[in-house]
Amino acid sequence: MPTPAILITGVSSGIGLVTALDLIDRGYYVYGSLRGTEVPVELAEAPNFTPLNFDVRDREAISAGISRIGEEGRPLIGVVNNAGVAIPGPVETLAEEEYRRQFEVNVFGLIAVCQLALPLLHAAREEGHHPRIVNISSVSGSLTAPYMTFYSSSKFAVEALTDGLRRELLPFGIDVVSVAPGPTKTPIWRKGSQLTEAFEKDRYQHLVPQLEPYTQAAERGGVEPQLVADAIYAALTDARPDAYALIMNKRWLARVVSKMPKRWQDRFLTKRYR
Amino acid sequence: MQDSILVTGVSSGIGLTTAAYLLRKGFFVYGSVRRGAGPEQLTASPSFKALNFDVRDRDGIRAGIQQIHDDGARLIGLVNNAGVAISGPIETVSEEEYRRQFEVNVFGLVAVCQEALPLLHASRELGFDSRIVNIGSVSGYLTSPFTSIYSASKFAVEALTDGLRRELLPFGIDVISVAPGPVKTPIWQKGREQTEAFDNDRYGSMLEKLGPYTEAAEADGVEPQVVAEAIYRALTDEQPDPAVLVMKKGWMAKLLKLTPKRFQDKFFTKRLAENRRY
Repeated sequence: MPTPAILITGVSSGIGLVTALDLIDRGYYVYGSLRGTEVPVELAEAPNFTPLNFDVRDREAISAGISRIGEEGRPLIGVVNNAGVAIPGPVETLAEEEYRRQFEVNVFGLIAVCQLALPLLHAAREEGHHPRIVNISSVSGSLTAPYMTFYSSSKFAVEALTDGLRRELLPFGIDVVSVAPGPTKTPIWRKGSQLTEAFEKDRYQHLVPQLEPYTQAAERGGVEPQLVADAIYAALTDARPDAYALIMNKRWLARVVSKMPKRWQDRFLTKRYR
Repeated sequence: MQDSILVTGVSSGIGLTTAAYLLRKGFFVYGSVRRGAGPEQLTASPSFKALNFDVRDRDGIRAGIQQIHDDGARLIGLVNNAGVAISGPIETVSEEEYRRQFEVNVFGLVAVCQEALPLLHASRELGFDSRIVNIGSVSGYLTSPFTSIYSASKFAVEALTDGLRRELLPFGIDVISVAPGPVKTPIWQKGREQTEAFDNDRYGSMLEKLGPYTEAAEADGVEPQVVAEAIYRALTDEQPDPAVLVMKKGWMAKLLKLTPKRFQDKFFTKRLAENRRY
């Protein structure tokens, strides 16, 4: 019987890379999407890995990648929608191009991959497998910190898409769950911290010096990506996985804050900027 | 000088009712309509001016807001009401349709906020309390199957509301969401004609449920006037509730949101069997 396969988007770094290596270690065949043609060394050397060249914003390329999975004949038993970007900036001043990119990747890209991969997931299910879709969300999918509002907004949308798709696929037995990391030791915010243009407008200039220390603190207080990879593995394999797994240090605090009145949250989440 | 409020999407539903109510309360209302002069009910008032723009058209929005500026009006409120509701399974809804859902409900709202904020800051600097009221939905709290894309857009609106409020806190511009449950408005009627996404092997059986499903939502709905009153309070209360849910048995929706996801799944599956959304 062919080795069951899992598709992970965005495996060039961070959570995607660590998860791909982890799942290969655990005996899966992994298809990993990358935007460029450069495959990280660890993956290039792995036996059960095929890189797929696509940007999740490019539906035709996704379609070509997924056709390849179909042709190779391994049952696709999981999709991990990991590819994502994090764009900081005030709502008032962030360029349209930037906030659109936030949704193009995190929301429309995720929908496109789901739509194009679902025929293979249905096929695997018809062969008796229990296929899963795991969407990588964020603690920002349930709490909105200022100046990360668009990122948060895209992750709120991912939470709704996860719940909705799970409810729509319930009759077919394809499970859909979200794994929501808090700060993680990955380059996602480092990439974002270079985008300071939106802060350089009159009303928000005073925030510029706070951005870099903030990014550093988030990374320092972050969990290791391996912890997130473990949660993704559990989501793919547990008999009855959590429909929502929040992975962060002091996650009780995030849970409590998300249930507090909004005006109280406002004070809590704006504290560091005062 | 009268205080002015801009309401997007005043041609029908909540937007129309709200604009009419704000006129009765003594405000000057700028209302956006995609085309035409605007509903007679509004144009009859000397305190109403229609602006012709689609929230997907930034140049159009800009021209409309320029007009408010040129009139020398004091803009103290923005009600982001314009919205569409697209139904269909995520698996099969066309790219064009899911993009349209976000173009109007999310990117449109962001563009109007960005373009109107200079005027709201100007009023604030003159000592007036300016506010932004985003029309959310109970679907911004909970996701019912087959309206997931709509829900995703309204979840996004909830985050935008919270984030923008937190960003504007130092300036004293308040940002609030008024989230109606089912309302007696044509929003789902308009959506009901979109059945293409259900027209296939896997979801064909849903098609016959679609009519009753959306009709029941309307029948159980609140009157748009109740929503208009909540919007008025959001614009005028000293310290308004930043997240108002306006629906019958709203407490139940709030409670359901606190329950485990798998329990919610069962609830929605059962509702679906009964041709109901909430």
